[in-house]
Amino acid sequence: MLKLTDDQLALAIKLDPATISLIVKKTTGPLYNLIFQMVRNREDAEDVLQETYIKMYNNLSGFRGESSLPTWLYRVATNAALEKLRKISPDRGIRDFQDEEFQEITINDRRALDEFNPERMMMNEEFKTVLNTYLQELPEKTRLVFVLRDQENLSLEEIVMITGDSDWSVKGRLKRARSFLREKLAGYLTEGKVNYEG
Amino acid sequence: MKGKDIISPQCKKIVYEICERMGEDMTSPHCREIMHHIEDCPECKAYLESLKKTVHVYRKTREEIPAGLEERMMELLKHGPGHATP
Ligand SMILES: [Zn+2]
Repeated sequence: MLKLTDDQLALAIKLDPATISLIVKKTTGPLYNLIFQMVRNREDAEDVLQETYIKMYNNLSGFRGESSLPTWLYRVATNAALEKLRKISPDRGIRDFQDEEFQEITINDRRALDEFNPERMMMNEEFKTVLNTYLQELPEKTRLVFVLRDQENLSLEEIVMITGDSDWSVKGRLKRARSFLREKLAGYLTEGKVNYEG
Repeated sequence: MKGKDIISPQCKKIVYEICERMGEDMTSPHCREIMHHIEDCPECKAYLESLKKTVHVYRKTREEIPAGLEERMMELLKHGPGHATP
């Protein structure tokens, strides 16, 4: 999402306004998507993004480049989003894939998406709502890994750095997220077919 | 008629691997084995395709940035965040 030269990084650390603007410009989209997918409403997402940038600003002078700046920003945003979720629903806590429904990977009808045309379906607003509903059903930490890997296109190594979780658990979550969403989509499309025919 | 399909233990293992490794480097000897199976097994091939389509539609459901968000964030940091925070 953002690549800084050494010179730009040095300017960022000195809080050079033009460089800060550049960072905000390049990172708002990806960070907002990640945060929104976690907290699921605009107002909270904007709050968390604001908090992320304030933390960035206040901590940039101490940035030593242990990870890249984008990875570091993703980590700040992730922690702030999880913190927000804990505040929004303190009793529920952050769900993970230990929940029994995510233990087993189900494999129904491997050909269910054979005739599915993604481009055509994406023009349908109702379908987009359905996709969002399924994504929201994923436990938070599982959803986080899916968003980082498959929407934001980050590598597994980067995700390990961002979440602070082991390589093993990141892979486990990704596997469950993908198979879960695929089963949901397959179920939706097969049901749709039954309805058309009936 | 679509529905549950019968799946062999080997295919089940392959499907698990597909879910974990799709999008990663598939050139290791172990992954070559997986790809071999997929080439010869239309059902597992269909599964891989279905997973690709799933990820594809989710890539397109990224949340759009609300109007003016970028500007608000830049404004916030313009003079240092101390001035703008409540
Ligand atoms: Zn197979």
